[in-house]
Amino acid sequence: MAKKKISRRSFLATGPAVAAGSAISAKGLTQETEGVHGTPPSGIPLRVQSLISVLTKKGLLDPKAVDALIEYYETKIGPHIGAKIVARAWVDPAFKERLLQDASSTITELGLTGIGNSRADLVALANTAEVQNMVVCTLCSCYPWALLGLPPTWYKDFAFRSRAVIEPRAVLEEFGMTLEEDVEVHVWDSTADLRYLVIPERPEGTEEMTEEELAALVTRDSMVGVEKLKPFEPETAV
Amino acid sequence: MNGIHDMGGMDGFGEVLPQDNEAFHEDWEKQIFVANRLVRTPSLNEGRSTEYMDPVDYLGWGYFGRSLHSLERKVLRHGLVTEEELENPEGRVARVEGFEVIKAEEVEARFRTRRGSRVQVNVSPKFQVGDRVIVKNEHPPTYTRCPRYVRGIRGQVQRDRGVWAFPDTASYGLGDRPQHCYSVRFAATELWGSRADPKDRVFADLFEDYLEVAS
Repeated sequence: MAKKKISRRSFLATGPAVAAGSAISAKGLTQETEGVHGTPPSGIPLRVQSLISVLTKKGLLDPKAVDALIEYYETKIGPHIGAKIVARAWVDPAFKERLLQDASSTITELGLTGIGNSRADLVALANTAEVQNMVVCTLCSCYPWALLGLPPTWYKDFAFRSRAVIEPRAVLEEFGMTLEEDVEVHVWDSTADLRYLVIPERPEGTEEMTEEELAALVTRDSMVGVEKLKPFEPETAV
Repeated sequence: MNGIHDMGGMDGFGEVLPQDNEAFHEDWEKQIFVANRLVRTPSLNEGRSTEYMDPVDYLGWGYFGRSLHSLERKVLRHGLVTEEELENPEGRVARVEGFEVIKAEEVEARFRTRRGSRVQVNVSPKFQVGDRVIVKNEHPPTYTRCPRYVRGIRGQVQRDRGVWAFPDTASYGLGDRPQHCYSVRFAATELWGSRADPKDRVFADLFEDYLEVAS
């Protein structure tokens, strides 16, 4: 209890004294972290419950909106949206070309606007026989939510965030990917407000498929660049 | 700031677990994650709140523990909630009047579009595609989106991503300082020496103020 108290107090005590003027003064703004280890992870669910109950009672949070937003994130957005973009790129080379030049405006052709607004940018990266692109955010966990849904746990974990840039090949192996000898790995660290979508290579054996059937083959992990889509074999695909 | 969050290139965190592939494990994770997004308050102008966490807590609390930290910090510092109320949630809690609460029916419209920091200002770029640049070896004690592992390293401008607000000042309310952001390509061996495969490349999106011409 005592520790918890100190930890909360320190929210108020620390933080930058924002200096007037336009330049950041290192002295005035040194970020001091809160120097007491607070609630152990086992206490977190309870602390969440307390906070939400207080926010609700105070009229700061509507529990119905909580449910609605959870539902939105879990059902309305997801990799099925990104998969539509990939499938179109596979069947329409001119669309793919436009996508690689300017993904934000090109996806509006599919009626998608979530990430294509004027204040955020989407970047599409095409995998080829020679280049395997993969995406990470080393500083936090930036991810193209509007196109892929919320990120999976492994994407947010420290192992992926720390290792993707320094040993991408070892990381890809942990995803079961073996790379041909002359393949280059290109790792994209989402350090600013650009969000990346990998266009995986179109799997073999899909020449006769419709755009809709193709979209069903595209996985989330392939659009983050950590999975190669396997050749399509009708017998085993059932 | 040279914080624990800046973990590109660190060792010791173990294997990636591809099978851990859901966004959430438990209900409280969903609750805190969306609550943190639903309680909208003006910016505290202090950079990013999770970077104020004790580094041991940052590592130990998990992604959704960090959402808890952000939301507590936000409502306490804005005076919307008191520590006493959090300590004793069953006790007397004073209602806050006049706060704009997001309603269930507004949720989709408000969260469909993500806000970015692109700004519609004409600023001429200092660098062109193909230019050789070096990332300034600066270590601000404040919020920055320039990861440590690229500082002092030579790279090449791969794409100009247009004009954006500069997070290092904008996040403190010290002005947008609109400038170009570039995708900069680094040879993996420039970053990691002999540990890297000479064929590999790492790209980072870097604001103009982080870069200088490589001589």
